[in-house]
Formats: sequence, structure tokens, C-alpha cells
Amino acid sequence: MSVPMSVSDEKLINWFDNLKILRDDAATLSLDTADALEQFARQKPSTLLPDQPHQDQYAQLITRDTQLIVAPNAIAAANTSLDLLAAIYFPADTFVIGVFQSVAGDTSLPFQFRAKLTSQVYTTDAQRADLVAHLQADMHPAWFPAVKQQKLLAKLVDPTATVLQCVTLVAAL
Amino acid sequence: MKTLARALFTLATALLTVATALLTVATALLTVATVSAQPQNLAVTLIVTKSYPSLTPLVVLKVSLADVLGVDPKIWRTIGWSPDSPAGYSVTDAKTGARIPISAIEFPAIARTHLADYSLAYLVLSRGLKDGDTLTISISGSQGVIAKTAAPLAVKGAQKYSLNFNPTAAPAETLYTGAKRDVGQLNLAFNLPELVTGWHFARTYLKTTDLFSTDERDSKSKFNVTGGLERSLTSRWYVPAHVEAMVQGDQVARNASFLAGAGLSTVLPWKFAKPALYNSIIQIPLSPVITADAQYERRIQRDPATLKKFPNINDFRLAPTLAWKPIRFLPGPLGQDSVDFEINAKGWYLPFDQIDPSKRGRFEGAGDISLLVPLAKLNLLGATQFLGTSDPIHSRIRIKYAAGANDAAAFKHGRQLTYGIELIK
Repeated sequence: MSVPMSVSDEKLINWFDNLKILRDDAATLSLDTADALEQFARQKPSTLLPDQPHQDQYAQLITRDTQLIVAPNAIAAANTSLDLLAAIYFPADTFVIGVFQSVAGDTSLPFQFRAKLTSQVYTTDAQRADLVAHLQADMHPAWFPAVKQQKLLAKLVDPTATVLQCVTLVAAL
Repeated sequence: MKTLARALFTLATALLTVATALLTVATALLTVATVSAQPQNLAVTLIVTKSYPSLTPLVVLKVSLADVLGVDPKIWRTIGWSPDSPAGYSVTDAKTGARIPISAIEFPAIARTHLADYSLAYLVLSRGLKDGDTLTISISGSQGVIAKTAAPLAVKGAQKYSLNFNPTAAPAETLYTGAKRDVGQLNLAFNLPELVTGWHFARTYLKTTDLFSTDERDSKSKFNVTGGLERSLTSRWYVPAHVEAMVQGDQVARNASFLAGAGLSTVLPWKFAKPALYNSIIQIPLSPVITADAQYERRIQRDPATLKKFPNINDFRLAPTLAWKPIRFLPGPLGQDSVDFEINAKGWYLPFDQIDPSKRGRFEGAGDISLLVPLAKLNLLGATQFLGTSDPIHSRIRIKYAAGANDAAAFKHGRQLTYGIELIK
């Protein structure tokens, strides 16, 4: 099923594109780099590229391909590639909440939207299905498998669940 | 009359109650308004790094916009926010309140469209920062300040230069005559990592490391002034190269030399090697690190002892090196990180150094190979758990064989087999 794409969808897709760029750049330098994105996301950058010349080269490739600026100790300090992306860019949560907000048609600031109850934001089955369809279209399947989709649908109707809780569920690998 | 008075009193009481209730409501509304107007916490990181390929110092403020503003321009319009307008950003000195002008606002690119990604902004300031400065950063829309840093941002590592004086007393210091006496010494270190600011082709630098003594015959006295430039040779690949000139000698120039040097280092794109070098027999996941340095020395002044040791007025050496690790042996049958090898090799070409009068120039080489076995793989008695972690690269046995010339000992040749346990925390 194709869903109309909003700016928020593009930004979430771009987050995954950036993670793929990090993986491809690492794979250019280290043959230990996992092909599967979810495996790469859990790999420690300084294990893949243990010495300074390789880390400097990795930083230049990332900057060349994304125009993100990599702080000198960011590669050595990151425990996982996900941590590295969060340090130089954002964690996935930042863009997942954008899709939640876009589907809800909400224009409040993120800190206000995070605190809202999902049962009051997504009041119809159609809205909830639309949200799942957008997330499914934007995200890598490993981040949003069928089991998680069912969990999300259940949580969206939980009267005590907030948007933040649902976003955290979706964004976690 | 009494009834009228009671009625008036009741009315007054009722009015007072209503007024109190209105005041409470007004106070509550005012509180809500104040909370709403409270700027959100703005996440800002100071990044002190280098530009590619020029390698010039780069100091930027990374402002995380998406966390506070979302990613949808529809939201931005409601608060009058425009990400590429300099008026929306404010950087002030937290101590003086003085505004610091922003010279550029840059954004990363969206991977598919290459358009600006307004999720975060890099602010380049038009004046230099120094360690100890504190900054307050805020962003504003048409309705005022939207978000600001919760606490002043401390500047660290953005120093334009470093200067270090270290006076010490040195009892019984050896003089070049062989005698000993008590002296005072002054260690001086000065480093200017960017000599010519505003030149974006390469980084220029100047540094000096000196030791001045109260006795000019102090064998430790020295001066060393180095100036040079460096940049990565290409913008596609990191190949840092430098060219530098150096003057060095002792305090009164009893010995003094001029040196000119150049060097580069790089790693290789390695993906192409996967079919041949990443299998169940051998795995070499990383390319070797390759460096090459050339140095010319002109001996300007030599005392008799140095003249005997270095008879040539000119000296030149070309020294390439190669470091290659890890090389995994039989990773299929034995498992990854079971048996690793490391290889280091170094060569020298010394055209002015004659060991055989019939030949001009001299070639030397040295290298070592190490076999590394993680302690965790040898845990037969269960005792090795006390020697390190289960992480194979943090506790291992190293057996190393080295052979070749030693440049620190006038290229004396030797061979050595060493073994030991490496514990890396």
C-alpha cells in the first residue's frame, strides 16, 4: 500500500539513509562491517576501525557524504553505530515523533506533543492504521517488524499511554 | 435598617468571594502563560575539529533544532521560525552579555535530494573563542525566544595558541664537558596551530620546544623551532601530508641544524580486497597504515664530538613505514580473534651515509611480526579470568620477533624474540 509522503516521512527515511551511509563508509574501510543494517547498528565503530588513521578516514568519508561534522572523539567514544549517528546527528526518536505528529495533523511543538495521550490523539482505527502504514513505509523492517506493529496498535489505544512512550517503542531497535 | 445593613454585608462578602475567585483564576492563567512562554532547553554542542581537506581548525556550534522545533515547516510557520535566517539565532558571551556575530549558518544535506537538512544547524562564529569563554545560545521566532541553552556552554579546546613555561631546579645536571653542577632550567613550549588564519587551502603552523639553562654547557639545553603546512592531498580520500622547516640546536648554537621535512600517511580503500583477504583461512579486515617521511638536514654548526659522530654536513633520509593489523589466521576453524598476527615494517634510505666507500647511499630496514593469542582462548584451568577481561583484544599473549636496523642506535642490526602478556584496560 502506498502512502502519501510528508516532510516528516522524508526526514525519517533520511535518518535511515544516513545510517546506511555510515555503514557503506565503514564497509569501504573495514571488512568486518556487517551487511545487515540492524547488525551494523549494533557494531562498535572503534572495534571496526581501531586506529586513528582509519577513524580519521571514516570521519572524512562521513563528512563528504552527509555534510555532518564529526567531532574528533565521536568515533572512539561511541558504543554502537547507532550511538555515533545519535552523537553526530539525532537518534531515530526525533524523526519518529515527526511522523506521529504529521499523521495526527498536530502543529504543537514537540515537547507539548510528546506529553499527549495517544488515545486522545489517534481516536479512530483509520488514524492508527494510517500511522502504522507511514512508519512501515519509512522505516527499515528490522526496526518495525510485524510484532512491534501489533504492540504499537495496542499501546495507541491504552488510555494511559503517551506519545513519547509509543515513539520510544517504535524507535528502539 | 438592620436588614438593609445585613443585606449589604452579605453582598459585600459575596463580591469579595467573587473577586478572590477571579484573582485566583487570573493568577493561574498568568502562571500558565509564564510556563508557555518559558523557552525550551536548546541542545548545543561545541565542536572543535578540522576542515577537510584543508585540515584548518574548525570551531562550530551544533544546534539541534529538530528536538525543539520538530521537522515540519507547518509547525515552524505557526511560531514564525525560519531556519536559514541569521536573525533567528543569537550567541552571546554569558559573562558580559555581548552578542557574538555569526559569520555563517550551515546545514547537513538530505541524502537523496542533497537539499539542506534543517534538522540541525552549524553556527560559525566570526570571532575566535578561547578556553574559559562561556556562551549562551538561543533561537527566536516572531513571538520571541523559542529555546535557549539551559546553562552557559563552556568553551574548551578552542584555544588559538598554547604557551607553557616550566622553570625547574636540576641538581647535579651533566654538562657537555662531562662535569656535573646544579643548574636552573626553563622549559618553554609554544604552539600556534593556525599561523595564517583565513587561508583555507592548508593549515599553517608554528611551534617551538626549548630548554634554556643557567649554564650554557648544560647537555640538556636545546631549542627547536618548526614551521610548516599540512592538508589532505585529496578531498575524496584522507591523505594528510605536511611540509615543514625546522631549526634546532643547543642553547648557544654549539650544534645547530636546519631541517626540511615532508611526509604523508594514508590507508587504502579496502572493500575490493574482500574476496581474497576475508575468508575462512585468512581475514585481514583493514588495510595497512602507510606513512612516508623524508627529511633533509644541513648541519650548520658542529662541536668536535658531533663532528666525529656526524662527519657529513648534509644528511637526508627517506623513511617509509607500514603497519598492518589484525591478520587473523584460520578464523573459520579457530574462530575470529583466536590467532592474530601484526606486522610492522620500516625502511630508510640515507644517500649521504656511506658505509662502503665504493657505494653511495645506504638502505636499511627493520620489521617485526607478532603472534597474538587471547588469554580467554587458553582458559584451560579457569585461572586466566583473573588476568583480564573476556574481551579478546584486551588480554592476550604476544610473541614478537623483530629484526633489522635500529635507527636510535646508529642503525645497529639486531634480532630479538620477546613474549609477554598484554593487558589493556
